[in-house]
Amino acid sequence: MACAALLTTGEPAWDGGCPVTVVERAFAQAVREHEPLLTGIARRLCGNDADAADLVHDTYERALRAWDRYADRGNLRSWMVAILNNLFIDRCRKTRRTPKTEAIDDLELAAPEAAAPPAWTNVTDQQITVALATLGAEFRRVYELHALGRSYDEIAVEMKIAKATVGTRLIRARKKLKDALLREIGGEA
Amino acid sequence: MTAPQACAHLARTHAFADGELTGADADDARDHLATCAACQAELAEVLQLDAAVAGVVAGVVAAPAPEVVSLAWYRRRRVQVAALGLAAAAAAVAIYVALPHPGTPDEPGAVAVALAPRRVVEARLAWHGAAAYRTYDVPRAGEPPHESIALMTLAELEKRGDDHGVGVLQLLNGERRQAATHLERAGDSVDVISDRAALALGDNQPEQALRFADAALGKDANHGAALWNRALALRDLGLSRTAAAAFREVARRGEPGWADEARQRAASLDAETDAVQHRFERLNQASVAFTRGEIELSVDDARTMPGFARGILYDAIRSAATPAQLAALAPLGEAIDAADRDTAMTDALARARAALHPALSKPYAEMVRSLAVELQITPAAGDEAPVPSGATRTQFLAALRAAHAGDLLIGALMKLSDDRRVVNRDELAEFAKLTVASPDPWMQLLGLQQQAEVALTQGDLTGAEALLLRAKQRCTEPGAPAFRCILIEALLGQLYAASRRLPDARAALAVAWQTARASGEWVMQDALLERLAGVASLGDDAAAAGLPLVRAYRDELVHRRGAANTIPHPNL
Repeated sequence: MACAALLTTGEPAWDGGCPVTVVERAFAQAVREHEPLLTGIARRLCGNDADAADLVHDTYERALRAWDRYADRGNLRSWMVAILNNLFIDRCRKTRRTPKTEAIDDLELAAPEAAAPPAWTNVTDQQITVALATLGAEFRRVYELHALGRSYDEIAVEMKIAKATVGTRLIRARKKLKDALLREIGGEA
Repeated sequence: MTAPQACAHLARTHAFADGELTGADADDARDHLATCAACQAELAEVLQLDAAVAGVVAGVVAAPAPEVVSLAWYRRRRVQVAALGLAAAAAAVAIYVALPHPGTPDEPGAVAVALAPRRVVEARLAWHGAAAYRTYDVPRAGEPPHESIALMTLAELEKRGDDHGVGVLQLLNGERRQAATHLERAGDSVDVISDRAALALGDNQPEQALRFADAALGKDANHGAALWNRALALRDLGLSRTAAAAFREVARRGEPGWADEARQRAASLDAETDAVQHRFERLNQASVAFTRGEIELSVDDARTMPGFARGILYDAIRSAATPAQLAALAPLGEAIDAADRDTAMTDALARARAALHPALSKPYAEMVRSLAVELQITPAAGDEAPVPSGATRTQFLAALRAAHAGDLLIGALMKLSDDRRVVNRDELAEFAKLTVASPDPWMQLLGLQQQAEVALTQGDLTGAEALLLRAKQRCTEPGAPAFRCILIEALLGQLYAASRRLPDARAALAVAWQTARASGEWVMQDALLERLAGVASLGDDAAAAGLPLVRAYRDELVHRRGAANTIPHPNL
């Protein structure tokens, strides 16, 4: 665990007892830029810093173990997000408050191998820009404000709409965006 | 991709992914996600889509098309980027700082500072780009703590003339001299002064750190980072009670992350100090019990406080009249020797066994008992013989000399001196000869110390210094007991203070204090604190430089007062 904590903190600490290989160095280098994104997601999902840090931590560990099987290096971001998401769902299963009906073994087995993210996530910035342009102005504005990290309340004030409307517009914006991306990459809509 | 069955909770899943749910609502959503395939798939899509778009949208903000969006809209956006930064700061990983670009004030350029999820410096930084709470990770031994900061970030901040930011990032980077240079130039805001304290802490200059932290608190008594750094400085100065109190003050502020860590730090500081203090109290009890002829010293306590334990054991050996009594002391001697990594106590026991003086040991034990009553260490039982004086004293000392009982004579000359501690002037030459002849470094140091104390009382500062420096030299050799060396340094400090050589006095007392702390010898700590406070309050620069220290030392004394009942054993 201590080694994973050091993944993105830099070189000398790496050599202080953690196994260091060329692969691990490359991995640390590669995931570094995605750390803010992953932590932001983890924090929203976990609701507190400690669990979020743990989740990001575990994501690195899992990703590092599967690194040599990770072929498509063009979309590291969505691969990492997929791992984090899977680990999060896994945690939800383990910590569920309602009585569990599954056998514990099943739950352990359910721990996911890094799944291939959906094809539509493998898109260029250009394609995303085009897809965003297909959204109506109202949807686009809500979605962009959201992407900038603003809360539903803040967006509601900014756009002078009800908070509930923010939520429904976001859902619809995402649906439209996904469909547009699927069309662009030639998949089914 | 197979479309999962629709679920009535999909909308809630979006809100959850957006961080809009809290408390029980969020828990419900997590529980539901554990089993609902539709919502799991939805969550995955939301996260992937948002992640893909995030970079693009951020790019749009960084390079907007002016004809599409009004200037006012820009300015709001800039604040929004900062808000995003704050959210990330709370996530304790990455901080986006929106800074206006010089020359083009309306173009919102953002400097992204990506920091590791855990911090490697204990100090708390005030600069906004590194102020967020991150869990502290103890750095590996032998490695200067640092995290790597992207050069581009540094270059960008430097370009913007943000000396404070560059200084702090260089500090995190482990480039301490660079950090000092930039923080030096960064002005005198509360945040900058507090960050100078952080740098001083990392440079192992707690006095300096305390001064900076106090200066920052002088400007803003509620400055979270300065309060934190002050607590660390106090801890590094060895003022554990005051440091614990300072951390509790931080904890009361309730800042996420910091409060919990402060609570833990306060608790562990108190636990450590309690352990030392309780051990001292037990030893003190043992020393009182010894004057009644009882040995209450445990092997564990002797091992962990070997100096104080030695004082008791030497007198126990002198008082032992039979081989059985000496044999009973052997485990304690071994424990003390193990702690001091020598064989001094075992050797002393062997010497005593080789030359038992039952006729002298019994009166010696009687002498200790009656002295304890005279010095009000124990209440009178009524059957004590008076402390030998006049002819009785002369007779007793003559008997010790005749028997060549050097070890007993050393004890008797000190205890039967006029002030019951420092050997009488007319007997000093004999005492010096006895201690030089002893194979025990403890006794050799004791001889030098007593000679120096006599010289000091006569105002012979030069002579006293020469003796103490010889003792100090002896302290660097193997087998030198820390306890005696602390007293030597303390005396040196006293001497230098009397000669108005204040930096020397401070240095000597600081060494004494550190050694007393490191060796767990509680008994001298209060006296050293008094002297440290005294020396810190002397000198022309006292107002600027000394007062924070004076206050800190005095606070520590107040925190300790009433906690320990310090009764110095007459052999000290």
